Amino acid sequence: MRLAIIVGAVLLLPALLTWLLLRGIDTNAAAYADVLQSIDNFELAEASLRGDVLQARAGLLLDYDSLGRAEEAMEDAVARMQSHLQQQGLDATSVARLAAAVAQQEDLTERFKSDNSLRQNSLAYVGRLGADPALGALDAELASASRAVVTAILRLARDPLPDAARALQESIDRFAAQAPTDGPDAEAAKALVAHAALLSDLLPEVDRTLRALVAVPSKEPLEETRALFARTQAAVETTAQRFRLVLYLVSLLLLVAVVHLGAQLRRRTSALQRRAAFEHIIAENSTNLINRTASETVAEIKRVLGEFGKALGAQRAYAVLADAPSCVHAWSAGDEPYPRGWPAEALPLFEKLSGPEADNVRIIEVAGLPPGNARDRLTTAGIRAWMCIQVIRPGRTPGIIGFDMIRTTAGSSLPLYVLRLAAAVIANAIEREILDAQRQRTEIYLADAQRLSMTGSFGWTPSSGEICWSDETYRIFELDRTVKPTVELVLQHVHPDDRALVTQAIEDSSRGEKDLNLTHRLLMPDGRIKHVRVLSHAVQDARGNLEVVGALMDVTERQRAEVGLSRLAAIVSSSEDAIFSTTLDGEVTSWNAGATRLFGYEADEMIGQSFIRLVPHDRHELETQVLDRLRQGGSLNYETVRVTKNGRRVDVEVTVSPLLDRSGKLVGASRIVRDITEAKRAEAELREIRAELMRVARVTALGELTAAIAHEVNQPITGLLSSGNACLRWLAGDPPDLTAARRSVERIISDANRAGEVIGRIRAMVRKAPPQRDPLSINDTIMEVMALVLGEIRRNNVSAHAELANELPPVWGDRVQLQQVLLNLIMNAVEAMSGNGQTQRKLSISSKRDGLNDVVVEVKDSGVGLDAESMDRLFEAFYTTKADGLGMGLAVCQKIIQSHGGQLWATPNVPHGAVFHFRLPGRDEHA
Amino acid sequence: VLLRGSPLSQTLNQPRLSQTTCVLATIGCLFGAFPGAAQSPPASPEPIRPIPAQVLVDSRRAALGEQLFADQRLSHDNARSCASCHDTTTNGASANPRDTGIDGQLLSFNTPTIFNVALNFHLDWEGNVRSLEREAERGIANPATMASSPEEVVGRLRADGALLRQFKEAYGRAPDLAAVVDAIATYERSLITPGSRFDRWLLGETSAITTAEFSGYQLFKSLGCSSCHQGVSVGGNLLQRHGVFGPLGTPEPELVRVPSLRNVAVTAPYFHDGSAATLPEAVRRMGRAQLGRTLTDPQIGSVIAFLKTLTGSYRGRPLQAPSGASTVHR
Repeated sequence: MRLAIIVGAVLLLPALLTWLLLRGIDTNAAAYADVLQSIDNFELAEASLRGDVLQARAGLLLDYDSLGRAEEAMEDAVARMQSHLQQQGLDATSVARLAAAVAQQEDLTERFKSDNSLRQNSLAYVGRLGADPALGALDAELASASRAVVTAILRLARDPLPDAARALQESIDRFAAQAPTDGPDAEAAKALVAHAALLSDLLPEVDRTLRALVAVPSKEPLEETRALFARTQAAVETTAQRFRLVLYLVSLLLLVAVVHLGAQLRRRTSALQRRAAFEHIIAENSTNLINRTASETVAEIKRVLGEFGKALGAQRAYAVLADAPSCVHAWSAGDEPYPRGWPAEALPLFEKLSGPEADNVRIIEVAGLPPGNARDRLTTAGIRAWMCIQVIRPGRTPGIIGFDMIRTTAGSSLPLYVLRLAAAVIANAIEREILDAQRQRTEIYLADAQRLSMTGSFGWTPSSGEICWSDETYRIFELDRTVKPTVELVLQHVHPDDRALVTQAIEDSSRGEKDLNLTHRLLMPDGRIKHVRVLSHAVQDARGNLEVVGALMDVTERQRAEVGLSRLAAIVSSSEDAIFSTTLDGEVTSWNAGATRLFGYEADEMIGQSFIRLVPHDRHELETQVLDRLRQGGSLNYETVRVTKNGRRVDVEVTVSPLLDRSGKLVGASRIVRDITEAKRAEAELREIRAELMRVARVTALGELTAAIAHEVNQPITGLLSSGNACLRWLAGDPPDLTAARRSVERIISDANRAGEVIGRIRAMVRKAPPQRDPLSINDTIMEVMALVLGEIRRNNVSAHAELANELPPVWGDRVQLQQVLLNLIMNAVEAMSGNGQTQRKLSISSKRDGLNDVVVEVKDSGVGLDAESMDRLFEAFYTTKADGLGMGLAVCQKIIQSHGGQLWATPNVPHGAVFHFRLPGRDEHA
Repeated sequence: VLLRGSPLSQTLNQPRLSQTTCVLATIGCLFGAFPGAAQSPPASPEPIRPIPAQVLVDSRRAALGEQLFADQRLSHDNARSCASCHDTTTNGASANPRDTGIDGQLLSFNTPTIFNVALNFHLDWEGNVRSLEREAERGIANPATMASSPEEVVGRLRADGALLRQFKEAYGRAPDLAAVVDAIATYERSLITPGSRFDRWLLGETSAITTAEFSGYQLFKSLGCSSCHQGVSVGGNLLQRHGVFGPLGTPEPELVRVPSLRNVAVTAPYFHDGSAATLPEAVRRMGRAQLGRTLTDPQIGSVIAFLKTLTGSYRGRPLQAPSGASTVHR
């Protein structure tokens, strides 16, 4: 219908315009000009005719051609007027009258021409009369009469008055009366009479004709005609002008319409262009989004929102999803911050504004909203125009994407479907992102699971040869992910000895005949061997293609563990020592051959039985303690006694270690029992020898100390002597100074005690006594030794210096033995500094706490120091750097310290000299 | 269409004259000039004026007209044509005092020459017709001459394929009466005889006529002959009573058209009734009847000497009298 209207308008409009144009053209103009021309021509011709007639009458015009032409011109003009009259359908009266006037004039002209010819002819004859020989012969009277005729003719010709006519007639009569009737002149006279008579008629006649001609009333009808045409023309022109005006108006309307249509076209074109541009942006960004990796998607969604926003003229663009927690992607121009709560609140606002049906909200001008929460909320968010469209997400909570115009009020004129398209793009991207995240999580879980279980997976399509490996599979094969797996590649990595087996397995599974369960070896390029277990299963995909899916486990560790276990078992079973394990209750769970040899019980006799039958009754309690100790963690090593099957008591060294299950829980104990009866005896002997040796060493050392001891003993003795003398003197005084004497005696006693102590110490050192274990202060011990060696130190010009830490824990040990060690170390230090050239002789002894309860003692000298060889062999027995040394000192020292559960070692001093350290385990005061 | 006297028309050589005419008419109108009036000369010293050297006509129409002029289908009996009486190969008329009509009767008047017919203001002896077209139409319908009718003629001509084509070319339409008579009239307008010795003299060639001939001309004027025989056609532009001073010939009609004296030397016999067989006779009788004089033989000879200088040429050939009196159609 609309099309019909348009087509009709398109057809009608040119027709209308053409009609108006034609009607607007003064079609009559040319005709009117022609009419005017005709009228002019007519007037000209008429004037010409009349003028020519007068000229002809005067004898000045000798031919009548021009008269004819004038008549024809007049006729022609009238004919043209008539034709125009007919064409225009006008009143023909005036032109008819004009035509009549023309006809009248023509008649008169014809009459004039005939008469005038005769008149001229006769006048010529009369004019030539005088020269006529015929008349020249006339007699005088006749001649006079003839002259009178001529004169009368001339008078009449000049002025055709009745008098003149009468006079001519009279003269003619007179001449005729006198004229001869025969003879030579008769003819001439007769001719004169004839001409004169003719002239007497013609002269007035011609002039009458002339007057009639001039009087023909052509002027009035001509003017009437002119007026008639002028009126018609005016009317035509007015009409034409009206049509031109209408044409002009229609043209103006058309122009307006065209401008309007043009503007509309422009608007639509620009809208179309914008739509196309936006669609292009959507398409481009849709592609971009799809091509993004999952990690880039979030940033890309924001960017794409920005693109859409910019294209829509928005300054903020966002997607809000009703997920919990709500998920928001937001972009803003220039990264300007969003107002508080925005765009999260856009979603509820949208739901409120859109209602349940609509999927979009477009607010061209927020200020135009009715007052209310919505307007307030949008205004608060600084929004002037708002556009929001629902994001449809099948199977998920809905969401929106929104565009805020905060600078302009006009929203986009883009059609909804484009916005929906944009929304769909964003929705897809978000959906993809969610799926990606889920997939990624799943993949990570799977990869973790695979890595943790060292299980890789693979897929293989035998028809295409395509193989797909998981990360863990790559890791097992130690190949980069970029390597494309092939059957050949797999076989390359298979241990050559297993290759046939694997090839067969691959063939079997490629036919989908059976599931694969196979353990084989991989030979790595660096020669390592991996054990892998392969499980696979053939499935058919939707197109009927066979696909093998499977798992690949790295069982190298397990294999190794199994091998280790079996070796361990072999060791255990082949061990000389008795090795067996028990539960925490003491029930035997394993029993090796060594145990059978030692104890005489077979394995089946012992397993399931308590091991306590091996323990003598007096040691049962100890074992209970051992078990307690075991429960606290840690292994124990102790020597004890065991009873064999035949009741023999054997000395054994027992090592009890906790047995833990996989979870680290204590489930039992392993016990290694070694027969040390022989070792015990050998050790006792050795101990004897060592004790003796030590004693010898002590004696030797004392020997070396003799001078010092002597000095040491000497001093109190000297003191005794002088104090005794002094006492005597005080007593000998008068009166005796008893107080001073008492002080002297006290000194004597003190010195005597000192001397006794010195002697006692020497005796103690030399005494062959079993080692004791007493809590003692290491500092006291150091001071005791220092007291012993002080004289020797001084004698050697050594400056001694002690730096003893306070509150050291007591050490658990043998006082004499530790003194021996210290004496040995100090004497060595003094000796090291006693050589020539030793300018700085500085001995420093320090004690300090180490760790929680240990005590470390250092003896530092500035002597010659130790070379590398000495350092290595320092503690060997009979190794000495001294010319007169026995080489037993340091070896004995180490043995002593070791027997105290400590260590002795040496380090070089800086810049020279040596430092000897020993550590002693402190005694826990509560233990 | 004959362009009457526009000087411009002489220099134009357009094949389509009808168009030219329109253009010239327009130009003439623009100049505010009326062709006839513009041509109106100042009182000419001579009553006779020369024939234009040529007239411009539509050659295609003129050719068609020439064909029709000789076409016997224009007569009812298909036996005669215009050219039967108007022999354009000789003098444009016949040597007979009066030619024989289609009914076997003699025609009322002597056949006047067809040459220079367009220069005449009045046509035929009675001078009742002024348009060549009308005259041709009358001739076709005249029971004495062609005895046909426009319908008959047009019907016949339309049956002629070749002619039909020619008409289509010349007129853009099949032959009809208007086209037929226009073609004939166009042809007739081309039948002019310029180049007479007297015209050459009029145009300034003083040696074109002899002294005797010039004397004859002077006599012609002084006798009063030129009162009627004047203009370009030397007559033909007015009606006149005949037998003013004595009878000239057959008294009817009372008024006859003054005939043109162009080519008068080769268009015997003379007068409306063909009663003057020779030129001296005609001159003598004219002198007596119309001038009231008895002309002497020397006067007659002198006048005839002049009259002979009025013979012009058609298509470059001077007109000639027919070799003898022809008995036209029996």
